[in-house]
Amino acid sequence: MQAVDDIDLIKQAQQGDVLALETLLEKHYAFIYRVVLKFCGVVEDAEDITQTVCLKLVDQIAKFNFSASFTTWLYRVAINASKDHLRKKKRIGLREKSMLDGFDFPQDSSDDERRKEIEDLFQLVLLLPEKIKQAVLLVYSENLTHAEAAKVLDCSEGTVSWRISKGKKQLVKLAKQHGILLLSLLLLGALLCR
Amino acid sequence: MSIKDLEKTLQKLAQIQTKAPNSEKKQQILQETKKYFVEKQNKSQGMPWWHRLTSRINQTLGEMMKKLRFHTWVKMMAVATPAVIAIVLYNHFDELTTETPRYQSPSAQQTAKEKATSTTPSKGVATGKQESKARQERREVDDSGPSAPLEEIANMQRPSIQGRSMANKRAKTNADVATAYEAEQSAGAVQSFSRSIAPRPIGLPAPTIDRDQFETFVENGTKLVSEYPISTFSVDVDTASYTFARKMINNGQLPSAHQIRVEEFINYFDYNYKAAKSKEQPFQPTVVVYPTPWNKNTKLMHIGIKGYELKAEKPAANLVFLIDTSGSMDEKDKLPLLISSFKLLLQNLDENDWVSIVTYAGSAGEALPPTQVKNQSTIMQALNNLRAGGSTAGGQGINLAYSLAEKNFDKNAVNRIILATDGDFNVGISDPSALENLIKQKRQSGIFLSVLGFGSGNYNDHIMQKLAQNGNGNAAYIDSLNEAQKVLVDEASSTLFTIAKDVKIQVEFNPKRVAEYKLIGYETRALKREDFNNDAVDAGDIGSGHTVTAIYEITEPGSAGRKYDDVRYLNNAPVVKESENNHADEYAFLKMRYKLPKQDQSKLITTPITETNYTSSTNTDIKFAAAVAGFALKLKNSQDLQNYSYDQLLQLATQGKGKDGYGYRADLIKLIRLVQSISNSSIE
Repeated sequence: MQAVDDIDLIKQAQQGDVLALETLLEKHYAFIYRVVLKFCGVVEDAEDITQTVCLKLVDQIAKFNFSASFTTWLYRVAINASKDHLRKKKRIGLREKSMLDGFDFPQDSSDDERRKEIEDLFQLVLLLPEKIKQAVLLVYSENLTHAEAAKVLDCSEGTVSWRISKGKKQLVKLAKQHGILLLSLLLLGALLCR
Repeated sequence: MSIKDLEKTLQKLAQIQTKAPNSEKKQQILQETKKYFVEKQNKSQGMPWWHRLTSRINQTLGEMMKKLRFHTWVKMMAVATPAVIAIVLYNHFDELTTETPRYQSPSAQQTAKEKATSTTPSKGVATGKQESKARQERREVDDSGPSAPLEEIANMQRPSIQGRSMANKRAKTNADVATAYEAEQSAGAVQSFSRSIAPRPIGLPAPTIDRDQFETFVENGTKLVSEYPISTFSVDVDTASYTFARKMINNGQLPSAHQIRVEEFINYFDYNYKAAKSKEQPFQPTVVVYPTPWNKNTKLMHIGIKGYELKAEKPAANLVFLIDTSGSMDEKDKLPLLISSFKLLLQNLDENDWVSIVTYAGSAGEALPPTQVKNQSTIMQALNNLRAGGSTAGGQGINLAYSLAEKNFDKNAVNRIILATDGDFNVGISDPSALENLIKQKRQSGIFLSVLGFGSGNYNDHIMQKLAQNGNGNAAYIDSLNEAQKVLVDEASSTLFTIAKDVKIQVEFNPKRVAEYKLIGYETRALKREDFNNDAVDAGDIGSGHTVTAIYEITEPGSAGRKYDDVRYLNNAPVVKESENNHADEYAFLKMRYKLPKQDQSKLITTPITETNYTSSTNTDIKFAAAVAGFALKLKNSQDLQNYSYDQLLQLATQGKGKDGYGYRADLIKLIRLVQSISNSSIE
């Protein structure tokens, strides 16, 4: 849902009001940056992509027709920009140094291992094929429902669910490949159970 | 099983937070995007150069809403006979308004239409009046010439739109005599103009205006209900005008007429009005009609509102003190007073509230990182360490203050920056519009800005008002520790916690009961009639427990005190026909619009003002408010009070003194005595 003032701001910006556009961007800057950073993992890249997203907004705001919510639209632009950027960069290496600099991982548990578990899993998610990664991040990290994610990704709800289940399988596989201790143990446990 | 455990871990991905984006990079990206947008606009629309220029100027003013008005201005200036056009415009504004007047019968409405279009007898009368007015204005315009500098026009235009006279306030800058002089002239023009033609707020520039003309306008401030049945204005809770005048009077000087904003005098004092019932409807009007103390032929219509008082539910506060420590602050009524004032404020905060201090002088610095009030000694020490020196870079300081406020941002708390300065932003503000825009944007994100003015000699009310206005805040002038006590301790909750924003008042008079009216004060806050329902038009904000008072002087149709003669022809026309909806016992109909602090849609309160509101014996509060209004009007040399002596005024004020727990009212009585002796000695 977009707030009433978003609609007003968009309308004003469509009519060429710089201040409205600026306010709109200022308001959603943190959101765009957050989404983009989650999708690319590196602060410097996120800043570049955010800039691209902002320029794209300027290019496309005239076409925005209020049929989708502004947030959905922002997600879509941000995700596509990230995809393009990463395609250009080929792929991100798992151990890229500045990889997790831009994140705050949950501090609530004193359990360092669990924290590591989340960190590692997140890095694995970033290694997933683009479309699957998108579904997983939108649903798990951005807390969207399958239906909402489907809207953003412009596909059916079933496709989102399918991509996610596929993603999970691949994550287990990836975890194994990278020999991550905890997930491997989990896998081992699973095998033993069978 | 493994998938199930994986699911658990995946769920935790939602807890991953990204760190806040780099703000420098952010500004850079936003700037570039903005530039790109503007270039694109210019390319795609192929705007002529002058169009771009005017929109640039508008941007500088930071008020996009005013675009249309500014264009009108430019065009008007380009045409040789602006006065005539303006008059034509006025009439159209009135006639184009879509609301159905409450008090006019259909036949009367028809008459009004005919007035503009046909040759009925009424036309002759109306046109005659307009012509005389047009002549008067043309005279002023001729004086100034159509080539008044753009900036001046812009300045003059502002007050009429947002209802605040910067030009007026600019006059207080004593530092630069030339500026003060120029401001005085434009202030005079604005005032005289809004007095003569309000409630229509489009003004004509008349920068050269002498005292005689000014006084003429004061007298003409009365309006005919048959011509202008509706009066619209924005509330004003500022008090700076009173405090500043008090300081001058205490120094043995009389403030000049344009430095006095009557409503700020009246609103300086607290009145005991009906309390609001709930936070959702944060005020209700108290209306009293009573005989005018200084004119037995007229009545005063007193409209008072008191903002809902937040008590137990007082929200937490996240305050950033932004303190000017430039060289000019190194005087005992500036920085030292400021420090003591803030110490007072600290005592009034809850121990879990957050406070931080940013100073600016040459370069901006963080004098105190966000600290909870319970660590009093740390805060006190930081305050004690403040020293004045260096030049001022207001812009940088504001950026730093916002970033600190954001650090501790709590959407349920009051997030406010309190800027304390003598208003001197002489370095680092190469682009005032950028600063203003920043403040506006931050206002939307929930961080408000209040401004406290200190000292004189360097006092720049102009910028300070502009900043507070854009930041949804209030501006107060602190001349003594007593005043600091009032603003920051006794009224801390009103100063800090807004309970309603964009509060507008519209009064429609019933021509059957009221022939003429005059709004006392609020000249600089007049709104257009149609702006009342336009939520995009900014207006004044009311804080917790704030009282706001507006007084109209009204003249009944049969009264001997009427300033206008009966018209010969219009009287025979069926202005008001006896019909069921003409509300015979009503003086007027009061409408108020406001928005709750976190909402963007306004709400409406309406109430008729009837016989039952009339009383001949008023209570102390009403008497006192009348005395304050009278005092301010007398300081303005209003002809209405020529025959009303200071002795009578003193008597009225004394009757209205009441309990006066804080001694503010006694203070006014002292001031009246002082003025009496100053003006006596100057006559001799």
